[in-house]
Amino acid sequence: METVMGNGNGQATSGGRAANAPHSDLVLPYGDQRNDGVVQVSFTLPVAAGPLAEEAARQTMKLMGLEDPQVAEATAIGEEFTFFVGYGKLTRAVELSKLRVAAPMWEELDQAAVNQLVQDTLGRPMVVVGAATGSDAHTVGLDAILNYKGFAGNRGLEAYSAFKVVNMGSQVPNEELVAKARELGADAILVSQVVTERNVHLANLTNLVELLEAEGLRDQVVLVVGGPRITHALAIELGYDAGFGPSTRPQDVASYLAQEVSRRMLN
Amino acid sequence: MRETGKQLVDVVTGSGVRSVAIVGTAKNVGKTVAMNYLVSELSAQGLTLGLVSSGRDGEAIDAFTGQPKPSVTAPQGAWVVTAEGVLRGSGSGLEIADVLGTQGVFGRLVLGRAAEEVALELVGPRSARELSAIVSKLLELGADMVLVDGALDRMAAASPKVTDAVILATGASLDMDLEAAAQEMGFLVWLLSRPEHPVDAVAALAREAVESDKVCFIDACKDTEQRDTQQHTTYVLRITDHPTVLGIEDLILEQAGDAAAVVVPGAVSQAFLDKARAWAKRREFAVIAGDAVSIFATKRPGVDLYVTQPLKLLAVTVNPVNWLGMSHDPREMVGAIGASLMDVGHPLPVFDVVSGEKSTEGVGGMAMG
Repeated sequence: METVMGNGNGQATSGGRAANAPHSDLVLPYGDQRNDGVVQVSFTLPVAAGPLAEEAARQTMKLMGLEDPQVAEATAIGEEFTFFVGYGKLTRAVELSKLRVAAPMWEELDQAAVNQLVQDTLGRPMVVVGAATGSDAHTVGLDAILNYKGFAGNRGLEAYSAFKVVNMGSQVPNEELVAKARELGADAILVSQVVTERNVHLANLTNLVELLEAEGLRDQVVLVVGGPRITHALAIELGYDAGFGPSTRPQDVASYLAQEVSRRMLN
Repeated sequence: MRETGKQLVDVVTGSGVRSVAIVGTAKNVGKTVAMNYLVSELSAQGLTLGLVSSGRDGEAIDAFTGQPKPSVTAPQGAWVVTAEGVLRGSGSGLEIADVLGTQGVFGRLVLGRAAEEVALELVGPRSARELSAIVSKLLELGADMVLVDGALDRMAAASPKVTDAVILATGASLDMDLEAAAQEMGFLVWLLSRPEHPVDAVAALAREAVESDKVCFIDACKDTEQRDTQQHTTYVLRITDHPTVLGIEDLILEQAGDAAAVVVPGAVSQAFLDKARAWAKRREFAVIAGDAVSIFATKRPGVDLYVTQPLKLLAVTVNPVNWLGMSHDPREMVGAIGASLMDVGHPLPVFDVVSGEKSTEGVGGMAMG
């Protein structure tokens, strides 16, 4: 079904958006003007450069749901591959009012407030164990959150008096992480993982949850996962308490951990 | 075409259980489809249902692949647990009866009753312990049957501490190679079917050992004059200081001495099984876990493996279509899985609730009508 597009705010009333918003409840990508739906895409096809490859590229864009697909650039890369940049129009809009987005259920706290809250709640620093688990060798994200220097001018958890941080680094087997968490009496476990379509990454994340369950530790830790494709929704499905995606700052994680641990003490 | 004879719903109602976990072997194997089938069939029989997820289910769009997903439909009168944060848009049909203590990123968990048929997103509690409490609560409120939707490939909902019985959902998303998928299912069903230790005295001590929350050994003290006869063997529990075997597998096994079994109250890892196997080469030695979901074996361990609380596996459901849309012939896939379970000595009825295909190979009392 093609969604009928109003220009500007033609359909705006149904969504329950703020009254002053000129936005439609139905939104399309912005190319040159509001709701023209124009997008730029880039991809590679395993086809030698030429007319056949370009037609294949146009058909690929059609399969993406793009109307009026145009190839703007076709570059041969190697003998049997072509890289494309194309333009096309999306005509199906996203309805904002139908989206369900999990709003974070905690407030942004500054460093002093986090330190104070953890001190008031636990009377000691919160023990946080972090690791990039399984086959994952990426530690940039984990280091950015945990290490003192932090990320984008926002200091890492090590800079807080509220946290005692143990960073186990990369390629840590889940069993080792669980054993370490038990040994240290961890209050929180931070796992970093770059998940892909390959089920192995998801399976590795759920395996950690199952191990913690089996060891009787699941209730005793705040379990957090972070990575480029992680959302809170996915984290909950995986059995984690929270999930942090790209552009997460250490302060976001610190605020969450402090408030979550305090909430649990109240329950 | 609807076949005669026993269907999945008959297996469930005929089992006498009050709570069933529907757990998956991978993502996109049709857990929610199997759940919705049971919801519809069981409520058509007049049963009041309780519905809860062990993670998150029924969301419109898959959080990972972005593909549309079936929503969970609660019939009128069903008791449902979900989070307040996902009730926007679907909350109108739910009369909130209680707010549970648990709070997560989607807000507090609420317990409600469907005033009318309502499509819902289910968000469950964070731990199996909380899930178990919720199942009990739903039964107390008057649910005749509680269905727990597992999340992804997580098995926590299948623990006997949580539910009475288990339906295992699998499909082409497990492995597009039919033979590989059938073999993997054979292994998984074998694992989840681990029984109690055949010697009653050992089984009783093992239950005691799990309660202690420490790794224990069960020593066999044989009567010196009648060494060969089992009835003259007495068993003694030896409790270690260790709550876990993780990371200290060797340390634990070095203390085994002449033990007939080691009882692990927590996770039984593949590393531990490998080492126990080497240990067991020289003597009779068994590994006993609390339940099958605490065993993290990736292959047959080569050592006797038992549990203190066996699972009750009711059936397997099969989704012959994988998440990319590639499909097996339903009959072929159902048949292959059924045959594989037969091969490992644990036959179970296998159903594709969408096409109506089923296999009851080797299952007593399941003859096609």
